[in-house]
Amino acid sequence: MLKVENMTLRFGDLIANDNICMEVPNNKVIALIGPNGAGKTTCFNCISGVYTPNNGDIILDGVSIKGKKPYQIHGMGISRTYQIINLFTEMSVIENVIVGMHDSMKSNFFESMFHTKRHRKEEKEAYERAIELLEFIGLKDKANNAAGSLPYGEQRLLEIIRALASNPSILLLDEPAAGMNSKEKEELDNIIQRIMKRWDLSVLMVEHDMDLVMNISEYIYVLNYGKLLAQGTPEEIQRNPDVIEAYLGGDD
Amino acid sequence: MNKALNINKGKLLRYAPVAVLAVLMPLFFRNFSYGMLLICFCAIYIIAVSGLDILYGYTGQISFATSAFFGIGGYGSLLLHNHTGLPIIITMLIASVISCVVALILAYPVSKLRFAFLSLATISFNHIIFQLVTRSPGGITGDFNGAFTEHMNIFGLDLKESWKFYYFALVCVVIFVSIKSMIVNSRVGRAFLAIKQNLHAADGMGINVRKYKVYAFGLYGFYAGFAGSMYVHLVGYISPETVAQQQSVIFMIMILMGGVCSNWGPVVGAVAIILLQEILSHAEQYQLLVYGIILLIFILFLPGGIVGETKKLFSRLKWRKKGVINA
Amino acid sequence: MFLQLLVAALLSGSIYGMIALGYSLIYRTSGIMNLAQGDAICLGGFLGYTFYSILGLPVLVAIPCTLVCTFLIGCMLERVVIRPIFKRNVSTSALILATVAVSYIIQSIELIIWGGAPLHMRSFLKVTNVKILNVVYQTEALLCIGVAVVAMLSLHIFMKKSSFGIAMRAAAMDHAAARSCGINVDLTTRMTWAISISLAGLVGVFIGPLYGVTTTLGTNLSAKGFASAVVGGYGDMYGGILGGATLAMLETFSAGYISSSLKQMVAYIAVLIMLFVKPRGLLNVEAVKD
Repeated sequence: MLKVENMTLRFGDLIANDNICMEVPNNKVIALIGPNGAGKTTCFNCISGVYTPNNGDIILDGVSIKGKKPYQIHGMGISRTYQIINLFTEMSVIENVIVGMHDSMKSNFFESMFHTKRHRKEEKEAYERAIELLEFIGLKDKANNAAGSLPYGEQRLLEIIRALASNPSILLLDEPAAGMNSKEKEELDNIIQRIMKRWDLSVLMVEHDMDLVMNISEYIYVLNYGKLLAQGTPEEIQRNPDVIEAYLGGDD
Repeated sequence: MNKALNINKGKLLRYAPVAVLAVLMPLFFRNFSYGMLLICFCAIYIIAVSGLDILYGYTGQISFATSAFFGIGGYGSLLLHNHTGLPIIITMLIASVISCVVALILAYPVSKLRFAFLSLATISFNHIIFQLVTRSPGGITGDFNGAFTEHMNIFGLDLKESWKFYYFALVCVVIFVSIKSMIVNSRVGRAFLAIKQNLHAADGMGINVRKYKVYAFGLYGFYAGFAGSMYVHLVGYISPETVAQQQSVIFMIMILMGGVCSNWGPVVGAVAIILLQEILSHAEQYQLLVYGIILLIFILFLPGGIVGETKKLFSRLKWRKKGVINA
Repeated sequence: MFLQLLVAALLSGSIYGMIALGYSLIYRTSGIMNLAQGDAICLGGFLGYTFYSILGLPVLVAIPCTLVCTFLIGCMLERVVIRPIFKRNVSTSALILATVAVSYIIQSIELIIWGGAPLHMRSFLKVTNVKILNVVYQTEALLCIGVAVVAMLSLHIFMKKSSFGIAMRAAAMDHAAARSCGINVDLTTRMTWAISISLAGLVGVFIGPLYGVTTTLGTNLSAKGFASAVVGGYGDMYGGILGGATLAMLETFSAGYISSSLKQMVAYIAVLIMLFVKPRGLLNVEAVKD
């Protein structure tokens, strides 16, 4: 369970996140929505360790992760995807997935250097697990292709699988549907639901596509100008006049 | 195919002709000992440039201090051997370890900064080493005159002649390149590449970027240091020229020309530059111009180096043959 | 002796500051170190020598000519070398290496055109020494300091008050945001390079009468330049100036009071110490860490 308590982040005089409070319980899909510039990705960046909040705290299963570095937070069980695709474009599809497992593998430097039995065993297991994951989203045939050669929609899916590779307890999805056509969005909807069934994790999702959000998420937080505007179930949010005025009624 | 899994037996067979050629090399140079000496230099540079490949090719970090570490290995082994009488192999290893440790100390604080600052740090470091070597306390390095030491010998086995040194160098090259190959085809190598290709994603995916940057730098320091110690016992002499800033740039040219992220890249690069240096020794005033132009050509047009671009060319030809791509 | 050392320090400081300015401006705009900065200095010296000593043009014509030439060379450099490399999505490390390649090419061209022997420029002023408060100073040195101060002030005013200067600062902070405000980022980038190169050229011309004109001067000064930028705060204009002054003071007074052989190393040691301990520099600049 992830708790964000009174989190504030300032860039000089600009308050990007103001007193945000959120809860991501186990096994749930939670959405974070809001107009552009509301501070959603900034919030993600605070949770994943790219920024350190000035005030407040972020607590994962009772342990504060505020101030920890991104690679440490990944190791503690929070994995993310990015708004702009951030794959290792020159590596193959399967290598991207295996990198995602990096900190689950325990061989040290010298074991890696001399390809000890333990290292070889871990590599083999990682490879097999990566194939399984690729099969899950139907990319197994493209395992050895360069990640950069995949069509856009598949690259986004690959990022999700890469994030899943480390068996996280919290999966942060930053606009997973961005740039997808309606068929790809349907697939994404389907995949997120399958992920929830197959693995024991929670998803915190930033998204603009309201159909996807309303369909998948069980609870929604609405951000506006860095502050929490409203929170509730999808039905409550759809009826909320402030939200309608600020966001839903306007664009999209 | 997961490269870390098994050493492809077919690949070993492919290396057989190369191995035979390598073992028989001194026969071709029976009457041309200068050529044999150049081959030995090649071997030494291959080791140094392999280390540079780990740093620049795999993690994308730049260094203008390769000749400084080369010099630490060279002067280190010289001073240790001349003053303590320890066997040369031992002093070579100690000097390489010292070079590695110095590299780690330099890299650790700078690793939290952006790559660009590594260029300034390594330039400064190279100059400091150069100053230390030319104005050493008590003149122990011979300052501008350089210093002399014994030629290579392994516990009494004298390897003074180039062709004898060559076999020792060959063994060293095989060992160092194999170790590099094993490292880059492992979890550590994957982390290196991830850092080079997308540092923030690497961080986000659980890779301790700083740690791996430092590892790469330390390895590079060890490789360059060992190469330097080989050099001083091949020639029997070392001078501040070897530690000059320009030498560091020449090492970078070797890896760019040869090709990054490959076992053969450093080989091609070392051979190319040694040949180039021989040609240019008759026209010293054009050296800078040639180096500058070569650098720009490879950075702009041939980023994969000779090895990389050749591979690309072959795979494109292969696909064209299969009728997959037109033109 | 103290006053003479002080003037010497001010001279070095103003020179270093000007070069550091160039480094910082380029870093802010393009994110790389231009290691050909030192050669821009030499270029200014050689061009100044050509206009002033070979062609015999009067000072007030020769110097602007040199400035214009170096400005144009800076534009050309950005357009012909830097921009194409940026387009190919090359890593920072490779870009920096490219500036080293450019440095080598410039040095070779200088060798071919002007030869390898050091050239001597006549002084710009008729009076060589002047006595103020019982101490003798070289007028050339005072001129250098004066020119540097004027140049730095002009740059400061240009950056803070003129609309193009403000556009340049905006573009340096954030390319995308500046573009969306209608700023021509390609132009501001090119101007930044041109200004940096011509600043270095200006330094080269004015130190010509003092130190002569050679190709080797460039490497040495270039290092002092980036060392000053690191000390003051890399990427910040004023950091470069402050760093230059600080470094010059450190060098001159340590050479004067401790030992002159130390002087060579001060700059390089300063770089390492600052990068290790306080990479944000004296002015606590941001955007240095990964």
